[in-house]
Amino acid sequence: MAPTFQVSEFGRTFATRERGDALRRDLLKLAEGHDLAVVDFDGVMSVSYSFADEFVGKLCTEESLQVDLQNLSPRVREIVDRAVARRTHDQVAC
Amino acid sequence: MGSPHATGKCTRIILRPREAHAAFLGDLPLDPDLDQPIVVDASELVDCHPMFALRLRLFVDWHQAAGNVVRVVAPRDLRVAHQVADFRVGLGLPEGTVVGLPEPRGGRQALIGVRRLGTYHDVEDVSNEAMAILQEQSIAFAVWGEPVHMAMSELCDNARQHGRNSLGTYVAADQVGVETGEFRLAIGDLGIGIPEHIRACYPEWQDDTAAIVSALQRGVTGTGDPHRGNGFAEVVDDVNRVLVRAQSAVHIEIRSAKGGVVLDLLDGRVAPRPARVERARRGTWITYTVRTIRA
Repeated sequence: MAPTFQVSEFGRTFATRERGDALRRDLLKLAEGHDLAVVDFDGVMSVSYSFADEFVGKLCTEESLQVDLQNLSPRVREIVDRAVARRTHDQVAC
Repeated sequence: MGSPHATGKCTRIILRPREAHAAFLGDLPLDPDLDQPIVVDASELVDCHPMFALRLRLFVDWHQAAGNVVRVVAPRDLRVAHQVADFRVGLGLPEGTVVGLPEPRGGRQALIGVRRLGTYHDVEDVSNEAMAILQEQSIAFAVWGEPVHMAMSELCDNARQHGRNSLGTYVAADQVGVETGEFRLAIGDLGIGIPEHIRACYPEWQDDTAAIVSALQRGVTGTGDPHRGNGFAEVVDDVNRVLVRAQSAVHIEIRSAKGGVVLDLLDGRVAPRPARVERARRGTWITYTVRTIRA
């Protein structure tokens, strides 16, 4: 069964690249030995673009782990989608 | 800024009234060998902009970190003395002041006193605080909670990461009355500055203003990581998304080294233009002003 990473255990708003890096590492540790992990954003109110890029953007483009993002608020969804789309676009362009 | 006067026993710096109106003061001297104590005379000030408060606090902290003694003479005008105190610059009020009495402040008040951001937790805390404060204000301000969270997160995080300065980044914010619908953020540091940071990857960009303008473009970064350099563009996009709904205009000024750029965001267009820069300035200084447009 895929492990669930509850983002709200670490806070309700996230603002920096460093924080995104720390959370990504925590998630990878939790998901060690799994191909898929659930990332649950329930209760997360706000994220910055750089946090989203470092946490989710890098997960989607640089790691072999598949992630299922759940319970994102519309605002958080919008920012995460932009970060992932830009990473994917950059990768294609590269 | 008044020029420093070494009297043999101390260095006295007199701040002239007009300087507190300006978003950007002339450079306060950072020479560690100034005669001690250093006295900053703010007694004549008639106003207190958040950038002024921030620069004054940075000046004091910089000298104190160097082991210098700094004393600041508070403004004689009680209204201004209270404004300065609200920013938590660390000034004493003039002798005899009764704190707690209501003061005429002209509707202007500090939303966030000058704050030093040393860690990423500090950046998160102050970004959250700014968002919460704005969302609790009038409806006109509430809509700015999320864009300001994004702006403070990105701008402060950049300054803290790339400034390479042990003092960290400083931030302050105020509102100029709910009735006038204006609030201002000031962010500053004494780091290497945007031009030098960006020239790590683009050494050919020797003109500081042109280097800052380029650094604002999406995907341009001094880190060498092709996926970075999008933060400021996201800040601008966020502003443009709410401008019409909020019936507001946003004015951003960025000064660093010998360069300066002004952006007026009013109708979705972004056209950076050079700011007047009189001399080189250490660090990076950003103001972000939101004005609600009245019909």
